[in-house]
Amino acid sequence: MAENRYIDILDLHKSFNGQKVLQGVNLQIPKGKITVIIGPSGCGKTVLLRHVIGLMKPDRGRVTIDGVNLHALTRLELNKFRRHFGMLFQQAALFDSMNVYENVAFPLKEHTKLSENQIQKIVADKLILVGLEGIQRKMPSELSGGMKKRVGLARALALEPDIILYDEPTTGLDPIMTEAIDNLITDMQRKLKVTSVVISHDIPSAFRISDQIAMVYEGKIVEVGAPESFRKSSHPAVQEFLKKGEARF
Amino acid sequence: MKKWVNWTIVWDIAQKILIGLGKWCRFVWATLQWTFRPPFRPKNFFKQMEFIGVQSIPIILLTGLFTGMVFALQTGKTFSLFKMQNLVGATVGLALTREIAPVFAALMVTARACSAMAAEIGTMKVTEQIDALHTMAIDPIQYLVTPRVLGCIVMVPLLTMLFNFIGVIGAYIVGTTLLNIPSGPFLHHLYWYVDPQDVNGGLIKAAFFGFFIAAISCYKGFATEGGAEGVGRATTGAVVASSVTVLVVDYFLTTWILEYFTDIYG
Amino acid sequence: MKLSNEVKVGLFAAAIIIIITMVTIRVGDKSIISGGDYDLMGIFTNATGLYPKAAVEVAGVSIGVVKNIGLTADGKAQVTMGVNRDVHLPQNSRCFLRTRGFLGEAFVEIIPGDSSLPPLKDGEFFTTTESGGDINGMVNQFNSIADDVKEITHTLKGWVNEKEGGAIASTVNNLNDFVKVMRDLTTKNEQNLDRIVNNMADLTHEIKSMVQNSKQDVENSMDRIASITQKIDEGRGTIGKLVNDPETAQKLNDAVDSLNEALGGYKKMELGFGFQTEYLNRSKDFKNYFNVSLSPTPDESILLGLVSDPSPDTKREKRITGVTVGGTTTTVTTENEVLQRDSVLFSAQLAKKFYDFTIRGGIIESKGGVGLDYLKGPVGVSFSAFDFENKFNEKPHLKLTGSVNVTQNLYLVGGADDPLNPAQKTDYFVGGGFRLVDDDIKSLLGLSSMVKK
Ligand SMILES: Nc1ncnc2c1ncn2[C@@H]1O[C@H](COP(=O)(O)OP(=O)(O)OP(=O)(O)O)[C@@H](O)[C@H]1O
Ligand SMILES: [Mg+2]
Repeated sequence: MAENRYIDILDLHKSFNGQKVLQGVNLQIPKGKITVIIGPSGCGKTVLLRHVIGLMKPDRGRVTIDGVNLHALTRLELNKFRRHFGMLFQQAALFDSMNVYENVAFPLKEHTKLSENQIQKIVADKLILVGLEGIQRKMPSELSGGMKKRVGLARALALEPDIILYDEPTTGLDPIMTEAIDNLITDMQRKLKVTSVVISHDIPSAFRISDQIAMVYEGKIVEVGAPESFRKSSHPAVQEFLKKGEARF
Repeated sequence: MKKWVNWTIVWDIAQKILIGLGKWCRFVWATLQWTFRPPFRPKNFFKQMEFIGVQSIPIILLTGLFTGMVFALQTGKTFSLFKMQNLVGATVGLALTREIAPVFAALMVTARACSAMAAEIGTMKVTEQIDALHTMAIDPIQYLVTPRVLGCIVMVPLLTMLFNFIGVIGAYIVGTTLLNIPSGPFLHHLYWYVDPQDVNGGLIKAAFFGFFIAAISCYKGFATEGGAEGVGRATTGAVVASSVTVLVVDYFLTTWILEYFTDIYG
Repeated sequence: MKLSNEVKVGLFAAAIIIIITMVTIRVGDKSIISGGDYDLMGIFTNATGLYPKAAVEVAGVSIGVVKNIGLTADGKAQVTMGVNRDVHLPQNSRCFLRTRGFLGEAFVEIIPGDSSLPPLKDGEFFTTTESGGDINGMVNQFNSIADDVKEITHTLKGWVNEKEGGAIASTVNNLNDFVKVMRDLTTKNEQNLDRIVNNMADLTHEIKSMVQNSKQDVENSMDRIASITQKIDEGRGTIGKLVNDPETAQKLNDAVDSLNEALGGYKKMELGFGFQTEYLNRSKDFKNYFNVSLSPTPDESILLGLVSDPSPDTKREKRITGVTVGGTTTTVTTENEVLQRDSVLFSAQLAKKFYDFTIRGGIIESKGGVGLDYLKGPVGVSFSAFDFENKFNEKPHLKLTGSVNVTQNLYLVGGADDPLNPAQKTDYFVGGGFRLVDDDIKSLLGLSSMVKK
């Protein structure tokens, strides 16, 4: 299987109660690279990401990972597959009955046989990575939105997965923290050869970190390519989007 | 001309009921499958048992005591018309073990624990925590539903037994003090007329109730759509559906259990 | 202290398990039949109001429960009762359906029959049953009583009702008339009445003077009676002593007590008499036994016996005789060393019963000896060994007896006597006997009233 067709999204259609959200999305995501998906709010980026991890079933089309059709798998097979994934939700989706430590340790406890000491160490490391040292005992309800998102990120990274899906990892963070997270994402990719899919509204940072950028517009991928070629796109929506996006900074 | 019955609406309602039932059956089937699949999570199971069972002890003691007392008072008043007060213990004992204790314990657990289950799971649903479980390769049914259903199946019978016990104590207190029934005949008739089969039948019913209320409430939680309001709707729906189911299922189980379990000497 | 969930759940479960165990013991223990039960059946023409679990009672004491009520082929109620193993009901026990109180529960009452009969066994039927009156019957009876009452009141009303010329009305009228006549009479006979009254006055006067004349006599008599009672009171004379001496009274009481005790002891002791005769084929003669057994408890007894031994044979011959009599009563008698016609030997043994076996020992036919009896149903086997002395190079005297009960009192015996004796061949014998135990004797002697107190 070609390196650049690691995750292959083919003619994906999805509609909710007659509202057509995805109308034939085609996208190839290369292995070990960072792919950033941009697009206007409500255009279906999150829906696309949910299809990639099998949380939603498409009305038409398919998603294959390493040649395996994700939506033809049984629940058990799907679960085996998902152990290679980490996902950061747009709203963090922390377990609110557990404190920060338990949230981050959760995938480790469920899927590894590590000792409590080892888990504590890993959790502490991940929290340092996202800049939240020593908040293990806090409950999610005691955290700000940005802190929640970073705890969610620590949890997604805990198992050091092969593929990480980030749904707006930097939205709501201050510029310094944004840069730290960007560096974290690129570090992961360089050191661990992680395949990353990042949804972002932050155009400058998208250009900074990405190996490939794709834009979702009106249910389709209207432009996809390396940052340089993407910038030269002739699609008016892309140009409009880039102009407004970069002007903000 | 006005039609007496709007068949379209009837069909819609029937369809909704059938779809709900079908989905619930699939949900129960999945729960059963996941129950016997590793990994097993005894910690979760014990946590739920503690929540469903141990934390329900006070409310069961309270309702059980007063149910027994009121029941003894009422039957005592009527029985004294026929000079049969001595049978109050036996009457209360039989009614408690066969019928009242299982139903009341199930309703109490529904009100206390199952509403909480629906709300908790509903909230997890609308805040994507369920999805998060999915993405972490953990089946939410196995992780959330199995311990709750098992916990209820185990705990509702135990609470029923507690209800039996405290209810009879309540009846005894009222019988011997207010109704002036001598304790010897009271206890004699109680022991004589209540059989282990009565107690067992009640506990078996309670286990079924436990299964139904937990399975329904968890299902309602999983079916939650749309924010805080949806969570509220799910919780209400869970309590109503569970309570009604307890009463309906009770009728059928009683018929069956009377048929198969109360044959006096087996 | 913070307990883990596991500990809390464990504590709760343990508490409930204790409660369940307690309840099961209490509720499961239908104590009457807890030691096991056996089934007895009764067929009633009508089992109205009887339900499974109703009590089965003897003399108001629960001995079991009704297990099942079914229908026989000929449309009667067949009631199966589970009865406590330890309760034995004789075969002619009677079985009644009764109701406690007006609306009360139905139950079965059993009146035990003749205790000498063998007990009813598992699955057997009561021969005599009687269905109790049901509420309908009672209500009918009430109705007919009510009818009677109504009739009486109706009649009374008729009597009182003047317009209808009822009896009372006319009685009152008659009385009125009577009173009127009386008044007329009195007025008319006023003078006569005066005379009668005068005569009466004279009479009473005369009586009075008569009494006054004999007053002295009466007083004398009274004095004499008074002095006699006084003497008795003071303890003079034999009667006086008896009546007044506390010691005498005490002695009397004691005597009565000891008499009671003696009678009581006798009552407890089970008494048996037996007579047995055997024809000895070698000796060609009869040997007779008279036995008495005293059993203070059902499985222990003292056996006493007299044996007439014809001993027609040689001097050194031993005679052995074992007697097996039914139940516990067994006596064996022995040997005669010298030729001695019609000598009388005696036996005295202690016997103890274990299940179907009885071990006994003591003096058997005037010699020391032991024996073992086995009795099962009507058939018994008995073995005795005695006269272990070896003066004449004799072996111990053995006797083997088999017995068959023909009736409760009559039995047949047969066996071998002294098989080890080198001096003679084994003596075979056949014979029979009868045996009387307690009740037979009592009824025979007409003592039952005395002994049974
Ligand atoms: N579960 C759902 N049920 C119904 N409609 C849905 C559901 N999920 C998403 N949608 C609809 O699909 C559309 C796309 O939503 P999505 O969350 O993918 O937007 P997005 O691109 O992630 O936007 P944002 O940048 O604001 O996060 C929205 O119009 C939304 O109303
Ligand atoms: Mg989104």
